[in-house]
Amino acid sequence: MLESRGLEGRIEEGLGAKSQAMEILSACRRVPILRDLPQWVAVNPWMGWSSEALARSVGRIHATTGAQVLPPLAWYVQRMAEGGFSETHLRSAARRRGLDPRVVVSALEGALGKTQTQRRALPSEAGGWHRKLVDDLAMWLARRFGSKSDGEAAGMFAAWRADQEEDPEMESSLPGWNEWFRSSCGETGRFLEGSFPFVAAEGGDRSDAFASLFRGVSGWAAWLRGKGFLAEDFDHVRELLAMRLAQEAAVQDLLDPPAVVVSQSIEDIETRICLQEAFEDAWMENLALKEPAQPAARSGIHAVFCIDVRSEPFRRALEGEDPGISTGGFAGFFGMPLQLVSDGETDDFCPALLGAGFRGVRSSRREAAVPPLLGSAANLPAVEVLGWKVVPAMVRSLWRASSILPRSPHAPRPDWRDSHGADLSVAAKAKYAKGLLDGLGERALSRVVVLVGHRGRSANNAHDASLHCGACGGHGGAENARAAVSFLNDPRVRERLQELGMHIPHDTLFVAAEHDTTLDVVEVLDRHGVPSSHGPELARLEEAFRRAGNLSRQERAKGRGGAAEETRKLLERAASRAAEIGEVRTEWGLAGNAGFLVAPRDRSRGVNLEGRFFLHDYDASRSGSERLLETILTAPVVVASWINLQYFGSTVDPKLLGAGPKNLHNRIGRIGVVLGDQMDLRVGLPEESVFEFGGNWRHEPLRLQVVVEDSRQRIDGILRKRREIGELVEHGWVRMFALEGAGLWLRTESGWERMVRASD
Amino acid sequence: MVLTKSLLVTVLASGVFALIGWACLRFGALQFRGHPLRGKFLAWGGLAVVGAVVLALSDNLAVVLAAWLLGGMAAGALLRLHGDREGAGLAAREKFMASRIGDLPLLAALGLSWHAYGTWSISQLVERMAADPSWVSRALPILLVMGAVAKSAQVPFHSWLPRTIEAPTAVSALLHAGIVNAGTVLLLKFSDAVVREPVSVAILLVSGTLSVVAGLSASGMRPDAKGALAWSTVGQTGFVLIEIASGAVGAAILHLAGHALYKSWAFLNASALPNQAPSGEQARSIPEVVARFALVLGLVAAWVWWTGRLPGWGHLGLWTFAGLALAAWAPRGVRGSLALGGLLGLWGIVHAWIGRIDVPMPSLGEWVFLAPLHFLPVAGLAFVLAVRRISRTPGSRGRSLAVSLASGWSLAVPLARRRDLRRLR
Repeated sequence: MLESRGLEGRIEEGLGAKSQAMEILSACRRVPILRDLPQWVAVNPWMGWSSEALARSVGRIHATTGAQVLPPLAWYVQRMAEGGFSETHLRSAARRRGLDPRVVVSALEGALGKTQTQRRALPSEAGGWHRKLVDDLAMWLARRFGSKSDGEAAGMFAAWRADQEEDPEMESSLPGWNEWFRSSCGETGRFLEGSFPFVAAEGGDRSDAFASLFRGVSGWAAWLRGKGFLAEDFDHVRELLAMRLAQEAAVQDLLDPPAVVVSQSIEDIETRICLQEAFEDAWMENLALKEPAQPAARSGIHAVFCIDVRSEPFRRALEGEDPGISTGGFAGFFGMPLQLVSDGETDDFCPALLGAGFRGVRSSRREAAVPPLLGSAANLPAVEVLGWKVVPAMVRSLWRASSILPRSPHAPRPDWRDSHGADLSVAAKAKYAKGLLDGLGERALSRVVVLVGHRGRSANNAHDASLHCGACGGHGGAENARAAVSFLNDPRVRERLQELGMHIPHDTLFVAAEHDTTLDVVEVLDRHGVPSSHGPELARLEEAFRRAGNLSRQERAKGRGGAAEETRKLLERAASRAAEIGEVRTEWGLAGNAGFLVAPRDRSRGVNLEGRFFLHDYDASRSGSERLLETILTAPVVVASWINLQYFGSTVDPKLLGAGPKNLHNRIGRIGVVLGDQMDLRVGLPEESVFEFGGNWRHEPLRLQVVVEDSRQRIDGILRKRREIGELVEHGWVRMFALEGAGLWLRTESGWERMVRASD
Repeated sequence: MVLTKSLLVTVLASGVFALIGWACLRFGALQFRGHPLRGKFLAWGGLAVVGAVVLALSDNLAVVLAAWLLGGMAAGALLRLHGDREGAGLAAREKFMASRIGDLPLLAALGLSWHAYGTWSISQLVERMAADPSWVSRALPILLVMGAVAKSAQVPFHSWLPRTIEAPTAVSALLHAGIVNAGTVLLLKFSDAVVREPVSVAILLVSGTLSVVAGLSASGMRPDAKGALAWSTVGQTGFVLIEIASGAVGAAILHLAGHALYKSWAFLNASALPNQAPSGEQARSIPEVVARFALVLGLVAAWVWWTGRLPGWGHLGLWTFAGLALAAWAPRGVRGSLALGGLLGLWGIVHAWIGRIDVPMPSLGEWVFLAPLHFLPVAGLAFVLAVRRISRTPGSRGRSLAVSLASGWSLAVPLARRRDLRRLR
C-alpha cells in the first residue's frame, strides 16, 4: 500500500502537473494578509476573492473557508422593521439587480429556504482527525516563529517533515506516521507535483479545494502570506499548503477513510445582496451635502487631519468653535513613507500597500514590563524576592486608574536616511513634500498649517495598533507629521519646490500635532520650535483645539447614552479608562465607518456625518486633478475599503473573521493572538471592537459608499484603467457614486443610475 | 528571628490572597462588563477568594478542608465558564478528577486525627504529633502530603493546570495565584510534622523535583504568553514543595506569596507582554556557568565556616539548587555579576534568617536515605539545563529532545477518558 502510493507513484499520477501548480498558486492568492501586532492594520479579509462578482464569491467563500460574508436574513428583517429601510427601497434595489420584487419581499416573510451545498470531506475530516492535525501544525508554527517573528520561513516544509519523522505523539495517535514521512514524502517542490486524489475538482477547477485545506490554520496562512505581500511572493503560503497536503496524504494512506460528503447550507445570496443594497440606498438618502461653493479666501489657520472617520466629529467641532480655522483631509501619513529602527526592530510607518521610502534610527523604545526570567531556571529562586515588586502596581489597580494624561510632545528628531544609508537629499525631501502639497492644494497654505496625526490610547491591549493610524502602518501619526513639517519648513526644500513650480508663501509655517482619538485631545508637538511671529495664531489654535475637544467628548458621551456631564470629568473618565488594564473598550475605533467623501470641504462643512465618513479633499477644477483622483481612488480608497470590509467581516462572522473575546486572548510574542490553547492565529478585530456590551452589533455592516465629486466619465476612465479599484466597484465590494452638482449617480453593473429619494 | 511561622502564614497568605483576589475580581468585572458570564464570574470568583482566605486563616483542619472543597468547587465552575470550548471542559474534568483523588487521603487524615487525638485544631495536632511516637504521627503527614500533591497540580496530577489557559484571563490569574496553592498552604501549617517524617519528605522531594523538571522544560518551550506562565506554575509550586521538605518554611511562605503576586499580575497583563525568547541561560557557556557556580558554592562554604554550624542537608541542597539556577542565568559583565550577587544576597537573607527548621536526622538508615535525596532537585535542574543545550543542536537527537521538553516529559497520569485526550494535545 505504502509503496504503491509513494513519491514516484504520485508523480506518475500527477498528469497535468503544470495546471496543478497554477491551481495551487491561485489557492494561495485566496489568502488575505495578517501583519504582526505592532503593525497590525485592517485588511480586506476577502482580498483574494475580489476578482469575481460578490454574488458568486459569497457562496464560494462559504464553501471554501466556511465564513459568512453577508449578515443573516433575520438581521435585514429586523433592520427593516426598525425603519432602516422601506419596501420602496427594496423594490428599487430588486429592479436594479434584475430580481422580481415580489419574490424578494416574500423572502422576508420566511418563505425562502436555504440552499444546500455539498463537498467531499478531506481524509482527516472523514477519519475524525482534522482538529488534531491543524492544532498540531499550528503549534509547530507557533514554536517556529513564536520566539522571534522574523524566524526563517525558508525550508519550513523540510524542517517540519524532519520533525514528523520523529514525533512520538503523532506516532502514538496515528501509527505509521513517522515511517510515512520517512519514506513516502518528498521535498516541497516535488511533493506539490504529486497527485492528490482526495482534492476534489469543482467544475474542473481545484483551486477552491486546495484553498479549503487552509481551514483551521487560516490565521497562520494569512500571516505567512503577509511576509511576502509587497513582493508578491507566495512561497511561504505554498509551503504551508504542502504541509497540509502531506498531513492529508498521510491520513489517506494510513487510515484509508471512506469517502464522506459534508453538506452545508447557506441562506439565499441574491436576496441578501438585494436587501444589503436597499439598506445602503436608504442610508445614502440621509446624506445631505451642501451646495458647491466658491472657494473662500485664504484662512489664517488650516488644520489637516487624517481621512480617518474619527477626524470628522473633531473637524466639525473645531470649525464650529472657530470659524476662522479651515480644515482638510489627507491620508494620515502625510505622504511620508518612513521607517524607524529601534532595538534592532524595524517598523514601517506607512500604508500596507506601500514600501517604506526612507528611514531613521530612534532611541530605544521599551515595551511594557516583561517577566524577565520567565522560562528560565533562575525564575524559581528569584520569584521569592522579585515577585513582590508587583505589589505597588497591584495595589494601585484596586482603584480606578489615575487619570494623569501621559504626554509625549517632545521627541528627538531622527536624521532621515535614504535606502542606501546616505542622508536624505533635499531633492528627495522636496519630492515627498510635493506629493503632500499636490493633495492639499494651494488654498491650504495659510499662515499656519497644522498637520494632525492621530493615535489611540489603551493599556494591556494586544490590538492597540487597530486604534492607531492605518495609513501609518498601525502606529501613531506623530512621527509622520513631524517628518512632513521638518521637510516643509526647510528653506532649502522650499527653494527646490519653487523650482518645481510650487510656491509656499514665506509667512507660512507648518506645525505638527497629534490627535488622541481616545481622549479627543489634540496637542501641538514640538511647541518650543515655533517662532514668536506665529505665537498668536498658535495660541488661538490651541484654544480652539481645547474647546473642540470638549465638544467632541460631549457628543461622544451622548452617543454612549450617558447624561451630559461636566467636561472636565469626561476627560478624566476617558483618561482613566485608557489606563485601565481590564478595560476592553477604550474607544470604538472606526466602528460605524460606511462612507468616503472625495470632495472639497465646502460640500460637507457644517454637516453632521456622525463620524461615519472618511473625508479626502479633492477639487476637480484644479489642474492635474485627474492624476490626483487616480491616486486617491487607488490608495486611500482601497485602504478605506480594507478597513470597511475588515469591520464588516469581523461583525458578520466573528468566529472566523474576528479575533474573538479579549478574555481568551493568548499572545504569541509580536506575531499575534490565539484563543486559549488553540494555536491558530486570529485574524480581524476583537469582539469588543464591533459588539456592544450586551452583544448587539455596534458596527453596522455597510459596504464603503464612495462619493466622488467629479464627472462620471472621468471616474469610469479610472475604474477601467486601474483594476485594483475597478474590480472592487464592478464586483460589488465597494459602491461608487458620482456627485455632479446636485445629482448623485450610482455606478451599477450596467452603468450609472441616478439616485432618487424614495419619498420623492 | 521572632517572626513565628504561623503568623507568617496567616498574615502573608491571607493578605496576599485578599489583595490578588480583589485585583482579579475587579479586572474581570471590567473585562466582562455587559457580558452574560459576568454574574457567574463574580459569584464563583468571590467564593474562591473567600475559600482561599479562610483556608489561610483557619487553624481548624475541618474548616480548612471545607474551605478547600468550597474553593475547589468554585474553581471548577470558573473553568467551565467557557464550557463550550473543548479544552476548557477537559481542564474542568481533569481538575475534578485530581481533586477527588486528593480528597481521599485528606478525608482519611481528618478521620484519623479525630480518632487518635480528638481534636481538629492544627496547632494542637502538631504539638501532639511531636510528642506521639505511634504510627499515627507518621501516617498523618504522609496522608497530608499525598493530598497536597494531588490538589496542587504536582506531578503526576498536573495535566489540568496548563489547560487552564482556555479559561478567561481573570480566572487563570485567580487559579494560578490562589487555588493551586491550597495544598502548599496546608503543608505549611503542618510543616513541623511533615519535615520530621522521612517518607513525606521523600514524596515531596520526588514529586517537587519532577514538577520542577516538567514545568521548567515545558514553560521554556511555549511560544504563547499564557502557556509559558501556566507551565511555570507547575515548576514554581514544585519548588515550594522542595523548600518545605528542606525545612526552609519561612522562605517557602515568601515564595508562595511572591509567586502568587507575580503570576497573577503577569496573567492579568498578558496582552501587553511581548513574550520574549524564553530562558536567559541560552548564551552561557559551560565553563562560565561552572565558574559562577563554584563561586556561589564558595560563598556558602564561607558562610558555614563563619557561622560555625552546618545548616542541615536540606538547606545545603536547596542552596546548591539556587546557586546553579542563578549561575546559569546571570547576564554577562558587571551588571550581570551585580544582578547575580544581589539576587543571591537577598535570597540568602531570606533563607538564613526567616522561619527555618533544622531537622535532626533521626536514624542512620534514614540519614543515608535522605541526604542524597535532598540533592535530587539539583540533579533535576542540571538535567533540564543539559537537555536544553543539547536540544538546540541540529539533528534528530536534538529534535526529539525538544519534543520531550515541550511535553514536560509526559509525566502526567491520564485524568480523563483517552478518547477526549487523543483529540486534543
